[in-house]
Amino acid sequence: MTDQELEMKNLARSGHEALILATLAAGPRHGYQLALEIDEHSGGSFRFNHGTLYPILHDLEARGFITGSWTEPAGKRRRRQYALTKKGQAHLAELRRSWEAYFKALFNVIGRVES
Amino acid sequence: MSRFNAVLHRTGDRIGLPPAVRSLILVEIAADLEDLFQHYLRQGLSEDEAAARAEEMVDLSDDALAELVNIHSDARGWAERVVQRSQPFWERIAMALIVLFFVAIAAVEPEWDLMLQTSVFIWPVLAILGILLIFVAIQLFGGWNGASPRRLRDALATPLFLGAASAVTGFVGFGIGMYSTLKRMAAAPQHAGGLFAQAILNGTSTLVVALLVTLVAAVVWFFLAGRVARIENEASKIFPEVH
Repeated sequence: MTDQELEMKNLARSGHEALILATLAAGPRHGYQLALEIDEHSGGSFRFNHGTLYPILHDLEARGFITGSWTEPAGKRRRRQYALTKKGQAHLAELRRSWEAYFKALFNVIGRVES
Repeated sequence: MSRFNAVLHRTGDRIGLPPAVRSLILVEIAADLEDLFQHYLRQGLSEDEAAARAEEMVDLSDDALAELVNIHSDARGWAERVVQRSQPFWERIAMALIVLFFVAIAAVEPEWDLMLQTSVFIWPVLAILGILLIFVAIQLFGGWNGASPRRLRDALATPLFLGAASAVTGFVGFGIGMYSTLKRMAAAPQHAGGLFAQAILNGTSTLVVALLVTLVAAVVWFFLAGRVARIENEASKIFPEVH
């Protein structure tokens, strides 16, 4: 993914994907854990409604960036757990580079105007 | 589960996907609802407040639902075809009889020299067989039992492709072999009979092996499709009320 592509893409969606993949880089998570962890680690800046989360998770899974598997803890309901794949790790690295470049470009403008 | 039955019903009614796929999505939502509910209870909310908050968090907007349906729409064809008819008993018997027939023929009248008569086109056919065996090993040892139906469903196309590729290779090999032989027969009419017989022998033996590989691929597909059907049917029973 090039920086231009990141600009052309829906920024919010790309950001959501980066947040999810980065959180999964720490280890497999359930959907609700992902949302709560992102909320907590961002100090409440990125608050996911689960309704938004499912399509992104299922899309990432369909594209092979994450895998979903069912876990069934004793005495509890079946749960869907997601884990990052190697392809997902590579995609996350690309997203990181794109976002860094994007913010660098953004602050080149913002910083110049402020000074 | 009863606490969130109403919201799950409403959500299920809005998900325009086959029952099995819809059920899996609802199972996921139900678990998250329960976990969020417990989370908010731990935060000190009352049961009613925690339930309302959890429902609010998991509420799927129309856009999100449309996207979810779009993502899973590729699964629709498979799910509808595979799930709604999960290989009745007679189909499994028919498949077993076909395989047994070939095994019996091979046992009663073994043609051990078949491979020695094949043409050069046997190599791509053997390569396809090798890929098919690797695919089977991956499916068997790569989490056959814990595999998600989606992953298995995605894998369904592989044996079909390999089977078709093997059959096509066999037929194309036969055609090219015959063309080449006919040219040689035209150049040396005195040897035409021998050349023709050899070409038929080489082409037919290669074609037979290629079609046997296609049969193996069909058997692999059959078992895989059955596995997907069982998993998805099982899932669809979890929320029979929303079907």
